[in-house]
Amino acid sequence: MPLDPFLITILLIAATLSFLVLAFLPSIVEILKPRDKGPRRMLRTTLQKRIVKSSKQTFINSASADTPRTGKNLQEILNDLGVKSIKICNDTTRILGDVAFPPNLEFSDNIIVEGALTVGDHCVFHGSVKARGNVLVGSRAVINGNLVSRGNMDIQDEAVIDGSVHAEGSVRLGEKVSIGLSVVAKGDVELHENSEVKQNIITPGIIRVLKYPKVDLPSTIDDIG
Amino acid sequence: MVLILHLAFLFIFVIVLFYLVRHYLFSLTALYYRNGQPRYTLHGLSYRPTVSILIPARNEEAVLGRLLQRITELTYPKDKLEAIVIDDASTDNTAKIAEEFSQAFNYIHVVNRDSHVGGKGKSSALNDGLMHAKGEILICFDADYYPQIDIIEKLTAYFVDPEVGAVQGRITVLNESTTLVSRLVTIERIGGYRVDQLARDDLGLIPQYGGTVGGFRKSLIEFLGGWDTEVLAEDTDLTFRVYLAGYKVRYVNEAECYEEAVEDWKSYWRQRQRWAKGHMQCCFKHFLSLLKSRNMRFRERLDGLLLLNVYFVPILVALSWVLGAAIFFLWPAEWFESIWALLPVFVYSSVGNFALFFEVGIGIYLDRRVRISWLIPVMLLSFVISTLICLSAFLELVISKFNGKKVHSWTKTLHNGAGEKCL
Repeated sequence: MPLDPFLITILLIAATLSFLVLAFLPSIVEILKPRDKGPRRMLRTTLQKRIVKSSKQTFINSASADTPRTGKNLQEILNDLGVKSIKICNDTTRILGDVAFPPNLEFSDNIIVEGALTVGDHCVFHGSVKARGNVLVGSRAVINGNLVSRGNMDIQDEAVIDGSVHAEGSVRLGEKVSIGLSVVAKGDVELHENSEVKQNIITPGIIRVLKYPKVDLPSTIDDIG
Repeated sequence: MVLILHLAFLFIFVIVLFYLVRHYLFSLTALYYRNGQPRYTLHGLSYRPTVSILIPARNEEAVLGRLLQRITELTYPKDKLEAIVIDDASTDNTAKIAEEFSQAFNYIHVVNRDSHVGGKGKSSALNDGLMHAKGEILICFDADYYPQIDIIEKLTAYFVDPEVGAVQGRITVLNESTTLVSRLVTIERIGGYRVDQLARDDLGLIPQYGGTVGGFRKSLIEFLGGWDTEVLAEDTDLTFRVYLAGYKVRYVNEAECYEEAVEDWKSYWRQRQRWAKGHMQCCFKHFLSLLKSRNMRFRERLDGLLLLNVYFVPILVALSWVLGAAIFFLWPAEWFESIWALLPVFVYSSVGNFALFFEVGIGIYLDRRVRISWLIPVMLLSFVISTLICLSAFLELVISKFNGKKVHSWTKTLHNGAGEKCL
C-alpha cells in the first residue's frame, strides 16, 4: 500500500527536527544550567627549580683575546671555504651545509649552520651559534652567546661559552671548559671535574664527571658520532 | 557549462580535503606527540636577556591597571625588564593610570601619542613603542590581558636558539562565564591554542604569532622595518615576514595568559571581520613570496599556504552552496548525477566540521574539562556566522580595490573589565 506523500513529508520533517534536538540537547542543557562556568584555572607559576647538578669549581679561563686573527670578515671566510651562506638579518648568517672554521677567527654574527659545525681552536664568536648536526668546539674557543645543536656536542679543553648550551644529543665538556649559564641535553652529559657550569645541568640521561687521568677527546667532527 | 561547474566543485572538494586532513593531523599530534617543550621551559631558569614589554592602550582604563599591577608581580629580574605603555590618544583615564604606575615603578614607562599621531591602529602604536624599547626581546601584551607571573622566563627561554625569531604563548579566556559568545570564544581558543598551535609547533610547521602574549627579537623587528600599518592582521603579517626572513616562530603552551573575550555578537562580528580582512590582505601580500621562498622548508610553505588561505575556505563553501543550488535547479533532469557535485559541501559540513569539532574536543579533553564540550554543537552557529563574516570581508576588500577607498580602519574591541570578578 503506497504511503501518503503528506505523511512522508511530515515524518521527514519530524525526523530532521528530532535529530537536531538530539544533537543540540547537551548544548541546550549546558546553556540553561551551566556546570562548567570556567575560566580554566591558570597556575600562578609553573616553573620548577629542578637542579640536577651544579658544579661549583672555579678557575680563570685562559682563552686569550689577543690571539692573532685573520682580519677577514665572515663572508670572506665562508667564500674561501667554498661554503654557501645567506645573511638573514643584520646580525645573523645562515650557512647551508657543513662548515669547519679554521683556528683563530673572530665573528660578531649569530650563526645558523644547516649541517655539522667545527669551530677551530682559539676562535671567538660574539653571537649565538646553532647547528642542525654535530658540533665540535675547539680548545680555547670562545662563544659569547648560546650554543644550540640538534646533534651531539663536544666542547674541548678550556673553551668558554658565555650563554647556555642546548643539545638534542649528548654533550661532552673537556678540561677547564666554562659554561656561563646552563647545559641542557636530551642525551648524556660528560664533563671533567675541573670544568665549570655556572647554573644547571638538565638531562634525562646520565651525568658523568671525569677525573684525571685525562681521557682522549675526539679530534674531528666525525669522531663525535 | 555543467563540466565547468563540476570541475569547480572538484577543486573545492580537494581544497576542503586538505583542510580536513590538516585538522585531524593536528588533533592526533596534540593527543599523542609532544616534542620536548618542557626542557626548553626549564632552560628559562638561567637565560635572561633584557626584555621590553610593549602595551598599546587606547581607552583601556577599565583593564590597564590590572595588567600593570601584574607586571609588577612578574618574577623576571626587574633590572632586565622594562614595560612601555603606549597611550594611543586615549580620551579616558588610561594615561593617568599609566603615569601613576610609572611614577611608582622605575621600570614602567609611558609613551603618549596625541590625537594627531594616535588612533591609527595597534601597529602604529607598536612602532612608536619600538623606538623607545631598549630590550633585546620585545614582548607584547594587550591591555586586557593578565599573564602568569613567570611568563617572561618561559617565553624568552626559546630565544636561546638563534634561529627563533618570535614566540607565542597560550591565551585563555577569563570572562568565560559571561555570555554564550564568550563561552564559544573559549572553546575556539582551546582548539586554536591547545591543539592547533601546539601541533604546528611539534610538527615543525608554522605556529602563528597572535599579536599578543608573544615576543620578538628586537634586532629582527628592526631589520623587518617594524609593524606594517597598512595590514589589519599585523600579527599574521609579522609571522610570515619572520619565516620569509629565515627565522622560526615557536609556540609555548606553558606560557599562559588570560584575556577578556568579546561578549556580544556585534563585537564578535567586528573583531572577526577585522581578522578576516587582515588575513586576506596577508594572503595577497605574501602568497607569491611564500611559493618562491628559499628560507622555508616544503612543509612550512605548504602549511603557510593553507594558513594564509584559511579565511577563504568559508567563502568557497558558500560558493559551493550557490553552485550546488544552481546545478540542482538549472539541470533538474541530471539532479541525481549532480548530487556528487555537492560532495564538498557535505564533506565540509559533516566530516570537515567534525574535524574542527574533534580538534576542540581533544583540546577540552587535554585541559581536563568535560561539560564545556557539550557546547560543541553550537559551534555550527559560529561556523555559519564566520562564513558570512568572511564573505563580507572579502567583498569589502574587492570593492575597495575598485573604488580605491581605504578599508583598513581599525575598529577597536572595547573591554569593560568584566573579567575582574573571575580572577
